Amino acid sequence: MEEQIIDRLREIIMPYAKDQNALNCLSRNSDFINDLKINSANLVDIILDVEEAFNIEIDNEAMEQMLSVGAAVDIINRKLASQ
Amino acid sequence: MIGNDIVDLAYSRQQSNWQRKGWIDKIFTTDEQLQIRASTQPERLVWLMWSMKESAYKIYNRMTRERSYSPKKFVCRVVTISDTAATGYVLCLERCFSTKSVLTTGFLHTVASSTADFDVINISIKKRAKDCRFLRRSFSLLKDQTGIPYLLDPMTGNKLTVSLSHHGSYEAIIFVRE
Repeated sequence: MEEQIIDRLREIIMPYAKDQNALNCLSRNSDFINDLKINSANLVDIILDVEEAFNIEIDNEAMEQMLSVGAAVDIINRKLASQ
Repeated sequence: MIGNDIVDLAYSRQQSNWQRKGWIDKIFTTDEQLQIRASTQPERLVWLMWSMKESAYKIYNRMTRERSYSPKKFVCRVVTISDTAATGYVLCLERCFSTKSVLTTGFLHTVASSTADFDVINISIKKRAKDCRFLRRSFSLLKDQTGIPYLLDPMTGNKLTVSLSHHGSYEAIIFVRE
Protein backbone atom coordinates (compact mmCIF):
# COMPACT_ATOMS: atom_id res chain seq x y z
CA MET A 1 0.00 0.00 0.00
CA GLU A 2 2.73 2.40 1.01
CA GLU A 3 4.75 1.56 -2.10
CA GLN A 4 1.70 2.18 -4.24
CA ILE A 5 1.27 5.60 -2.69
CA ILE A 6 4.95 6.41 -3.24
CA ASP A 7 4.70 5.29 -6.88
CA ARG A 8 1.69 7.54 -7.35
CA LEU A 9 3.57 10.39 -5.67
CA ARG A 10 6.51 9.87 -8.01
CA GLU A 11 4.22 10.46 -10.99
CA ILE A 12 2.82 13.59 -9.37
CA ILE A 13 6.23 14.96 -8.40
CA MET A 14 7.94 14.18 -11.72
CA PRO A 15 7.11 17.41 -13.59
CA TYR A 16 8.28 19.58 -10.68
CA ALA A 17 11.40 17.76 -9.47
CA LYS A 18 14.68 19.28 -10.63
CA ASP A 19 16.87 16.46 -9.30
CA GLN A 20 16.43 13.36 -11.45
CA ASN A 21 18.52 11.13 -9.20
CA ALA A 22 16.50 12.05 -6.12
CA LEU A 23 13.36 11.30 -8.12
CA ASN A 24 14.68 7.87 -9.11
CA CYS A 25 15.68 7.13 -5.53
CA LEU A 26 12.40 8.40 -4.09
CA SER A 27 11.74 7.16 -0.56
CA ARG A 28 10.00 8.26 2.64
CA ASN A 29 13.09 10.29 3.48
CA SER A 30 13.05 12.34 0.26
CA ASP A 31 12.67 16.02 1.08
CA PHE A 32 10.68 17.95 -1.53
CA ILE A 33 12.79 21.09 -1.37
CA ASN A 34 16.26 19.97 -0.22
CA ASP A 35 16.50 16.66 -2.12
CA LEU A 36 14.11 16.90 -5.05
CA LYS A 37 14.86 20.63 -5.55
CA ILE A 38 11.21 21.43 -6.04
CA ASN A 39 10.42 25.12 -6.18
CA SER A 40 8.40 26.13 -3.13
CA ALA A 41 5.72 27.72 -5.34
CA ASN A 42 5.24 24.31 -6.99
CA LEU A 43 4.63 22.59 -3.65
CA VAL A 44 1.13 24.03 -3.88
CA ASP A 45 0.69 22.30 -7.23
CA ILE A 46 1.81 19.00 -5.71
CA ILE A 47 -0.68 19.45 -2.87
CA LEU A 48 -3.48 20.19 -5.36
CA ASP A 49 -2.43 17.21 -7.50
CA VAL A 50 -2.43 14.94 -4.43
CA GLU A 51 -5.91 16.17 -3.49
CA GLU A 52 -7.17 15.33 -6.97
CA ALA A 53 -5.36 11.98 -7.31
CA PHE A 54 -6.48 10.61 -3.93
CA ASN A 55 -9.75 12.51 -3.73
CA ILE A 56 -8.89 13.97 -0.33
CA GLU A 57 -8.71 17.46 1.11
CA ILE A 58 -5.42 18.64 2.55
CA ASP A 59 -6.19 21.32 5.12
CA ASN A 60 -3.79 24.03 6.29
CA GLU A 61 -2.56 21.99 9.25
CA ALA A 62 -1.70 19.00 7.08
CA MET A 63 -0.14 21.25 4.45
CA GLU A 64 2.31 22.65 7.01
CA GLN A 65 3.85 19.19 7.36
CA MET A 66 4.07 18.45 3.63
CA LEU A 67 7.84 18.76 3.33
CA SER A 68 8.82 15.19 2.58
CA VAL A 69 7.51 12.09 0.86
CA GLY A 70 7.12 10.37 4.25
CA ALA A 71 5.01 13.23 5.59
CA ALA A 72 2.89 13.19 2.42
CA VAL A 73 2.34 9.41 2.71
CA ASP A 74 1.26 9.76 6.35
CA ILE A 75 -1.13 12.58 5.51
CA ILE A 76 -2.64 10.65 2.58
CA ASN A 77 -3.07 7.53 4.73
CA ARG A 78 -4.67 9.52 7.54
CA LYS A 79 -7.08 11.31 5.21
CA LEU A 80 -8.02 8.09 3.39
CA ALA A 81 -8.62 6.31 6.71
CA SER A 82 -10.91 9.06 8.00
CA GLN A 83 -13.13 8.94 4.93
CA MET B 1 18.16 38.98 10.60
CA ILE B 2 17.54 39.05 6.89
CA GLY B 3 15.84 36.98 4.23
CA ASN B 4 15.28 37.47 0.53
CA ASP B 5 13.40 35.98 -2.37
CA ILE B 6 13.60 36.49 -6.10
CA VAL B 7 10.93 35.60 -8.66
CA ASP B 8 11.83 35.28 -12.33
CA LEU B 9 8.55 36.42 -13.86
CA ALA B 10 9.03 34.70 -17.24
CA TYR B 11 10.00 31.47 -15.47
CA SER B 12 7.06 31.69 -13.08
CA ARG B 13 4.73 31.82 -16.09
CA GLN B 14 6.22 28.56 -17.36
CA GLN B 15 6.36 26.81 -13.99
CA SER B 16 3.31 27.99 -12.10
CA ASN B 17 -0.28 28.64 -13.01
CA TRP B 18 -1.43 30.90 -10.20
CA GLN B 19 -4.89 30.92 -11.75
CA ARG B 20 -5.25 27.18 -11.24
CA LYS B 21 -8.32 26.38 -9.15
CA GLY B 22 -7.40 26.23 -5.48
CA TRP B 23 -3.87 27.63 -5.89
CA ILE B 24 -4.57 31.07 -4.44
CA ASP B 25 -6.73 29.60 -1.65
CA LYS B 26 -3.81 27.50 -0.40
CA ILE B 27 -1.35 30.40 -0.20
CA PHE B 28 -3.17 33.63 0.53
CA THR B 29 -5.39 34.75 3.40
CA THR B 30 -8.95 35.85 2.65
CA ASP B 31 -7.88 39.48 2.88
CA GLU B 32 -4.93 38.95 0.53
CA GLN B 33 -7.21 37.17 -1.94
CA LEU B 34 -9.56 40.16 -1.94
CA GLN B 35 -6.64 42.48 -2.72
CA ILE B 36 -5.51 40.23 -5.58
CA ARG B 37 -9.02 40.13 -7.05
CA ALA B 38 -9.35 43.91 -6.77
CA SER B 39 -5.95 44.59 -8.34
CA THR B 40 -5.53 45.75 -11.93
CA GLN B 41 -2.28 43.78 -11.99
CA PRO B 42 -3.14 40.59 -10.08
CA GLU B 43 -0.17 38.59 -11.33
CA ARG B 44 2.27 41.20 -10.02
CA LEU B 45 0.54 41.28 -6.63
CA VAL B 46 0.52 37.48 -6.41
CA TRP B 47 4.28 37.27 -6.86
CA LEU B 48 4.98 40.35 -4.75
CA MET B 49 3.12 38.87 -1.78
CA TRP B 50 4.60 35.43 -2.47
CA SER B 51 8.13 36.87 -2.32
CA MET B 52 7.23 38.79 0.87
CA LYS B 53 6.04 35.55 2.48
CA GLU B 54 9.11 33.63 1.33
CA SER B 55 11.62 36.21 2.49
CA ALA B 56 9.88 36.51 5.88
CA TYR B 57 9.80 32.70 6.16
CA LYS B 58 13.58 32.64 5.71
CA ILE B 59 14.00 34.89 8.77
CA TYR B 60 11.43 32.91 10.75
CA ASN B 61 13.18 29.66 9.86
CA ARG B 62 16.51 31.07 11.06
CA MET B 63 15.04 32.29 14.31
CA THR B 64 13.10 29.18 15.20
CA ARG B 65 15.03 26.52 13.19
CA GLU B 66 11.60 25.13 12.41
CA ARG B 67 10.53 24.16 8.94
CA SER B 68 6.95 24.21 7.76
CA TYR B 69 4.95 24.97 4.67
CA SER B 70 2.42 27.44 5.92
CA PRO B 71 2.25 30.44 3.58
CA LYS B 72 -1.11 31.54 5.02
CA LYS B 73 0.49 32.11 8.43
CA PHE B 74 2.65 34.81 6.88
CA VAL B 75 0.26 37.70 6.49
CA CYS B 76 1.30 40.41 4.03
CA ARG B 77 0.57 44.11 4.22
CA VAL B 78 1.67 46.10 1.20
CA VAL B 79 2.10 49.68 2.43
CA THR B 80 3.44 51.41 -0.69
CA ILE B 81 3.59 50.15 -4.26
CA SER B 82 4.69 51.78 -7.51
CA ASP B 83 5.69 50.43 -10.91
CA THR B 84 9.23 49.79 -9.70
CA ALA B 85 9.17 49.35 -5.92
CA ALA B 86 7.09 48.27 -2.96
CA THR B 87 7.36 48.38 0.82
CA GLY B 88 5.39 46.58 3.45
CA TYR B 89 5.57 44.11 6.27
CA VAL B 90 4.78 40.50 7.04
CA LEU B 91 3.15 39.34 10.26
CA CYS B 92 3.91 35.84 11.46
CA LEU B 93 2.39 34.85 14.79
CA GLU B 94 3.81 37.41 17.22
CA ARG B 95 6.59 38.52 14.90
CA CYS B 96 6.70 41.27 12.30
CA PHE B 97 9.28 41.72 9.54
CA SER B 98 9.63 44.75 7.28
CA THR B 99 9.97 44.21 3.56
CA LYS B 100 11.32 46.18 0.65
CA SER B 101 10.81 45.03 -2.93
CA VAL B 102 12.09 45.91 -6.37
CA LEU B 103 9.82 45.26 -9.34
CA THR B 104 11.06 45.05 -12.91
CA THR B 105 9.58 43.51 -16.02
CA GLY B 106 11.98 40.55 -15.67
CA PHE B 107 12.04 39.87 -11.96
CA LEU B 108 10.63 40.78 -8.58
CA HIS B 109 12.91 40.81 -5.54
CA THR B 110 12.01 41.23 -1.87
CA VAL B 111 14.28 41.73 1.12
CA ALA B 112 12.85 41.13 4.60
CA SER B 113 14.50 42.44 7.72
CA SER B 114 13.85 41.99 11.42
CA THR B 115 15.33 45.45 12.12
CA ALA B 116 14.08 47.41 9.07
CA ASP B 117 17.64 48.71 8.68
CA PHE B 118 17.79 48.24 4.91
CA ASP B 119 20.71 50.66 4.44
CA VAL B 120 23.23 48.13 5.78
CA ILE B 121 22.07 45.35 3.46
CA ASN B 122 24.12 44.72 0.36
CA ILE B 123 22.07 43.35 -2.53
CA SER B 124 23.47 41.64 -5.64
CA ILE B 125 21.16 40.37 -8.34
CA LYS B 126 22.52 38.66 -11.41
CA LYS B 127 21.20 36.85 -14.41
CA ARG B 128 22.55 33.39 -13.90
CA ALA B 129 25.27 32.59 -16.36
CA LYS B 130 28.14 30.14 -16.34
CA ASP B 131 29.96 32.48 -14.01
CA CYS B 132 27.48 33.12 -11.24
CA ARG B 133 30.02 32.97 -8.47
CA PHE B 134 30.40 36.72 -8.46
CA LEU B 135 30.54 37.09 -4.73
CA ARG B 136 32.32 33.93 -3.81
CA ARG B 137 35.68 35.03 -5.17
CA SER B 138 36.43 37.08 -2.10
CA PHE B 139 34.12 35.46 0.43
CA SER B 140 33.51 31.79 1.10
CA LEU B 141 29.89 30.76 1.11
CA LEU B 142 29.38 28.11 3.78
CA LYS B 143 26.49 26.47 5.57
CA ASP B 144 26.13 25.65 9.25
CA GLN B 145 24.94 22.27 10.60
CA THR B 146 21.30 23.20 10.10
CA GLY B 147 21.86 24.24 6.49
CA ILE B 148 21.68 27.99 7.08
CA PRO B 149 24.21 29.80 4.89
CA TYR B 150 26.78 32.38 5.96
CA LEU B 151 29.68 34.19 4.35
CA LEU B 152 33.16 33.83 5.73
CA ASP B 153 35.49 36.77 5.21
CA PRO B 154 38.90 35.13 4.68
CA MET B 155 40.73 38.30 5.73
CA THR B 156 39.09 38.76 9.12
CA GLY B 157 37.55 35.36 9.77
CA ASN B 158 34.22 37.10 10.43
CA LYS B 159 30.96 35.40 9.63
CA LEU B 160 28.46 37.54 7.75
CA THR B 161 24.72 36.90 7.68
CA VAL B 162 23.72 36.04 4.14
CA SER B 163 20.52 35.07 2.37
CA LEU B 164 20.41 33.42 -1.04
CA SER B 165 17.63 33.08 -3.53
CA HIS B 166 17.51 31.73 -7.04
CA HIS B 167 14.66 31.27 -9.44
CA GLY B 168 14.72 30.67 -13.18
CA SER B 169 17.61 32.64 -14.61
CA TYR B 170 18.10 34.97 -11.64
CA GLU B 171 20.25 34.65 -8.56
CA ALA B 172 20.18 37.06 -5.62
CA ILE B 173 22.55 37.28 -2.68
CA ILE B 174 22.07 39.71 0.15
CA PHE B 175 24.32 40.20 3.15
CA VAL B 176 24.70 42.62 6.02
CA ARG B 177 27.70 44.90 5.71
CA GLU B 178 29.91 45.18 8.75
